[in-house]
Amino acid sequence: MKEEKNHEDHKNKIELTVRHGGNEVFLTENIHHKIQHVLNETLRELQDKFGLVPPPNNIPFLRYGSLDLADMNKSLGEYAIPDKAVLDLLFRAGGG
Amino acid sequence: MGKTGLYERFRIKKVHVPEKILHVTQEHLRTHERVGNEGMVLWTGIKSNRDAFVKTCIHPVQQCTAVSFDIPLDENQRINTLLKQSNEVIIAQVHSHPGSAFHSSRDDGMPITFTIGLFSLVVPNFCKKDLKDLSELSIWEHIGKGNWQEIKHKEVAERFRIIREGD
Repeated sequence: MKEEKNHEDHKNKIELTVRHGGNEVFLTENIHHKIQHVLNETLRELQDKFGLVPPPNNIPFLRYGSLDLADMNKSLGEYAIPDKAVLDLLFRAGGG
Repeated sequence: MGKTGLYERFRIKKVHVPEKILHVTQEHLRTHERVGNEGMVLWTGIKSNRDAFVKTCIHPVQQCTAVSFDIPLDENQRINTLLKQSNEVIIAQVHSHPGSAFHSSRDDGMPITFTIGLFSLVVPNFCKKDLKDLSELSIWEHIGKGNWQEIKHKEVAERFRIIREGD
């Protein structure tokens, strides 16, 4: 029973690369994880490894190819994100 | 680790900028000046310990007015791809103002990245004057959470080394 669960867990894992500003982080995520979780993990890793510290009122989002992963309550599986996918973390950029 | 600790861990003490990058920056900003608009470029390169070495000036596709610029998301994503290909990171963003140089609330809140140690250089008067002396610019350093610290004029030479041709 435990082995079956481990097998199931393993089957549901995917590896992701998230790119931002020339830096990359690598995540292993369950396909049932919500985009909000992936975003939180990405920001945690980018802060820890590269010093990315955005303000709380500027929420970046993730994009896979031309697909915006805008619905934070959807899972990776619901967005059909495959194993080894490369995502981009983007802020709305401008100035004046 | 608190934000002060993160700042100490990630801050860049010195940026090395080839003179050629200043020329390219000036040319790009002047293409916007000719139509009465602000413009923006990115300085990208490599970081080594506390030093950053600018290698490339990227001139993004952008939507500009006389008082603003915006980078479309597709372009922001394309820049990610370019940086992956060149193994470079964003060191600074440089943009022009129609009049005096200062950091506006949009500049504070909407840079292309929020990495601690990112520099934001604001060039006055649409870059009509040749870009040679960086102390004439308004230069800011991101210290975390969208907070910026101004680099005082007397500190500019200490923090920015212009690599003259022939050096």
